[in-house]
Amino acid sequence: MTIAVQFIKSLAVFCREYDWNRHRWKNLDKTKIVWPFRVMVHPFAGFDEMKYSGRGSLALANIIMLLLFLEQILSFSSTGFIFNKNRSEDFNIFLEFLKADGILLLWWISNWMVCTLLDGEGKLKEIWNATWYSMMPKVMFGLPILLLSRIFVVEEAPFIAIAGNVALGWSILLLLISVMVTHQYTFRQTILASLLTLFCMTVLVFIIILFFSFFQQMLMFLETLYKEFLSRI
Amino acid sequence: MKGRNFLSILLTAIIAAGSFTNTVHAVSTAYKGYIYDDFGRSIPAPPPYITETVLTGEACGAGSFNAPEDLYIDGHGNIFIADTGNNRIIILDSNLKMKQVLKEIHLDGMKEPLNGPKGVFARNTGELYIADTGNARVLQCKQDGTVEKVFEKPKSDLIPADLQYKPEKIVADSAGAVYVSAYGMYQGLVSYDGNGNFTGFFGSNKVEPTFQTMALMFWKKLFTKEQRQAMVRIIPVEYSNIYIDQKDFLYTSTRKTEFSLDEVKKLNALGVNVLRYQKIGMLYPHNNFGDIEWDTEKGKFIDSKFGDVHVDSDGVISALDTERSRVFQYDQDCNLMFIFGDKGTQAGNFLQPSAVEKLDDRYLVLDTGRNTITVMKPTHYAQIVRQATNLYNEGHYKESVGLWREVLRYNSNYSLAYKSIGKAFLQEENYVEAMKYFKKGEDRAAYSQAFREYRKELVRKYFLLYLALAIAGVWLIKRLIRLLLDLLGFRRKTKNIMFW
Repeated sequence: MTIAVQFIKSLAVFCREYDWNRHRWKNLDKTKIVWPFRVMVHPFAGFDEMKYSGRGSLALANIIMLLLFLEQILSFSSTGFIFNKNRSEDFNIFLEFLKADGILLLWWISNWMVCTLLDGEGKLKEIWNATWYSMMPKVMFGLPILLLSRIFVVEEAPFIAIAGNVALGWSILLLLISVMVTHQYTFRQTILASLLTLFCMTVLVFIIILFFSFFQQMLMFLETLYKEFLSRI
Repeated sequence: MKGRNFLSILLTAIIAAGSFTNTVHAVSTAYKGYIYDDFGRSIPAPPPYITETVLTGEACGAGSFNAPEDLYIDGHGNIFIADTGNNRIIILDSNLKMKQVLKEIHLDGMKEPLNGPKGVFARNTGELYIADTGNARVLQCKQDGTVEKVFEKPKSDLIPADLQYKPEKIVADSAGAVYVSAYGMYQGLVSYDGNGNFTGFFGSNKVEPTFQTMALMFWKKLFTKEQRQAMVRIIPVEYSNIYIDQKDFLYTSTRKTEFSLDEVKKLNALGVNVLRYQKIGMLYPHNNFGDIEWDTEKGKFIDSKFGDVHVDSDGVISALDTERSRVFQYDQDCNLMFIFGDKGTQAGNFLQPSAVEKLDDRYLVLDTGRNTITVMKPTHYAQIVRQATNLYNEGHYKESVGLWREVLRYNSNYSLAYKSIGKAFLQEENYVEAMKYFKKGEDRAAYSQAFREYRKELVRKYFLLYLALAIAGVWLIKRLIRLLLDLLGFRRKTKNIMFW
């Protein structure tokens, strides 16, 4: 009882002592909003200042993640009929989330794990900011590609493919540069770290699948147990 | 008085109006009618053929059949049945009454019995071809049994001497050349010229590159000759049946292919498959014949196995699936038209079908397991679909629209109907309506065509407006970026932290 009272008291103290004004618009460091755009065209300087001058913003990175997800959902139904092979009854929001953000989440965790072992200097939060900031080209190209797909014809499909590939390639380049700068690696170390991260991603996927099937088996076992138990009564 | 007259007129008017509407007739059959939509999902459809009669051997006056394995109907309506178990060929006329039974053939003045004939074919000029499988030969004879030519096992370096020659199915083209599909001959169809000389193999299947075969090829490069000879040989699958049409195109069916593609082929004179199908924007490969959704049995997928193929004068290809006893009908563009039949013992179901042929507008299916021939006649739905498809294939899109609308009242999922109506609108340059129908028919290639023209029209009409909008848009975006930067506290003049 007293523990609960103590807990509530400490909560009240926290709410009183915390500097809520930090989050007011006029007190925010608004240079951070421009940073994703700066990273797009000046990656080395951008990532460096994100790490050492504190210009990375967790909120902004989350917004980029959200934007990717929203773009994926929008494109599912709204790409032009000629390029859209999705059936609306097949819409699966979890799958769309995985398509948009899943790989990057895997990358973030794998990169942190691998680079910690390879004496990288990047912290979890820094890697989070860096990966999402490097996805900015994909976010920027997403809407124009969507609009173009509504206007284009089958013969013009290569242009859309090129645009998509440019966005993806640019993002991946930024990702590699972010690895280099955030962990302060040489070029060779970056390549090694990236390949190991990819490998770690596949291992992680394998483990997740294993877990899923294990859980399924366990649930099936429990369910049969329950049914047997009921039928015994 | 006035009210009574009015009421009676009103009533008769209502009844009369009712008699003008087209009623959609429902039929009940032993099988459930279904079809595949554009996404490759099975959906219910009106059944296209219903059983007219089930013919046994006794009913046509020839004595019961015994495991008959081939059926052929020539251009005059004569029906030829290879009654394999009874070692005879039965000829019926187009009224399904017995005309003749061939138990022995006259060869060089001697009478010889047939031995397990598995194939029969007849040209419109009257020559009869029998695949005398048990005696390893193909006979060309007159309809009374007098043999004119014998086609024996060909002597060639490609055929090992100890291979047993088992000719099963035969066709002959208009020049008299004979094509034989023999059991185990993976090299292709054995072809003879009109004089009985072997002229080589025709059009074999290709070995399909699967992961296993490619891995095997890789190992074969590394192994010695002895090791290679002990390994499995990678050879293509053989054809299960053949059919020849009026223009001497050979249609072949293959029982099973690795990727379930190209089970039915149309071969030209060079042995090349010339069956065309839409490739752009298709949601499943249209050269995947048979069932697209498969059953699993003990964890293995069971695809369609094709045992026979038939093509009629309109170009409708009927492929017989022996696995689930169904007949799939396609037009010349590989659009699926109908599916009928099912496995079972009811009238209209088949137990072990081995051949499908057409007599006038009815289809005859030979059931080896039950020794019967089932005659299926088309329903009203099948008739209008065939009529409409004929018009569509001849390019008369506008005339087919009325028929297609009636088809849609029976089966609103029939995408070919939407595509055809769309094409009709496209022809008369009504692009908006064309696009609407192509969207319903999931035809992305045609929609793209219509959209291209519509886009041209729009731009031509509103070019200046679009130009003005584009300029305004660019100016607006620049302004907005400036505004954003100002709000964020950057002045464009100072260059302390800037991004371009």
